[in-house]
Amino acid sequence: MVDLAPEAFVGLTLPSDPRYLALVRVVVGAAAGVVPSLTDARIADLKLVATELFANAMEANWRSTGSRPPVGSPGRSVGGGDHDDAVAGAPSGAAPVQVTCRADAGGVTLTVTDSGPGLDATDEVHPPVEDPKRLHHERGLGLPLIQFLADKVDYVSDSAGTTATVVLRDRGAGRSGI
Amino acid sequence: MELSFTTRPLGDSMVLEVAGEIDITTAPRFRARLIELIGGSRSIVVDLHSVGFIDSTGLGVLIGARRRLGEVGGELSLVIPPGPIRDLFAVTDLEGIFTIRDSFPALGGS
Repeated sequence: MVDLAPEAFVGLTLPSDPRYLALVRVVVGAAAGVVPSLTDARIADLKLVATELFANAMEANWRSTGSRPPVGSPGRSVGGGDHDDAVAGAPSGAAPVQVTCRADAGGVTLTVTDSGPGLDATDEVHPPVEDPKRLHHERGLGLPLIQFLADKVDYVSDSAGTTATVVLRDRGAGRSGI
Repeated sequence: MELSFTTRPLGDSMVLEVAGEIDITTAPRFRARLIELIGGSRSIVVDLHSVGFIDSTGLGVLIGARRRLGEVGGELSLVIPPGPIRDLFAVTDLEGIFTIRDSFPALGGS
């Protein structure tokens, strides 16, 4: 009987195109599936973190070309004619997004690299939920979600771009230890 | 990516059943459907029990719908069974701005 080590590594270089989001979820979910200690709930956490990071990276790459981010931009739709859909494709000159996912007995390490300058330290802070102004903030939930769901989060920026590295480990029963 | 909608009346409310995955590729369609419903009903119930994935963009759509309905004196309720998606509302403190039910039998109950 062959003793297979529970580890996996995948690397993806993908266009800054929203249509690849679902693929990212499938791939990182499959890679994480080799780690016996990771519950389905934690793999769901990983898929969400990967989605948020990929979306942020796409947005950074779009902005680097002077384009509006893919959400809410006018243009050709994913659904092929439904103008309410997100745009499909990537603007000319947009750098690809690099994604790596390493899974082993210690958990999953996910990296997502874009060509943007990194996070703005003055990113908006949401009002508390009891403040009616909170309802005017539809964006900006991604980073707090990543922070909460990941066991370790690190962003490194240089002249070439920004790499987000997150580590997710098993947290026992229930999603995110809630 | 598939995202489908079914609407049906429930008393004075309109129920929007959503099935599929909500991310930035499908969220605009979700937003448009909600805005369309808000134009015709002051009480909307969004049933997310068949949603397998929702990201921050989808949560933002619900926040926007809650605001739009609030501006016209309406109400937005969510049906989300306990599980990963429900947990996101706790993580983000959004449970504080939505009326969330586990299932339909509880709606309209005491």
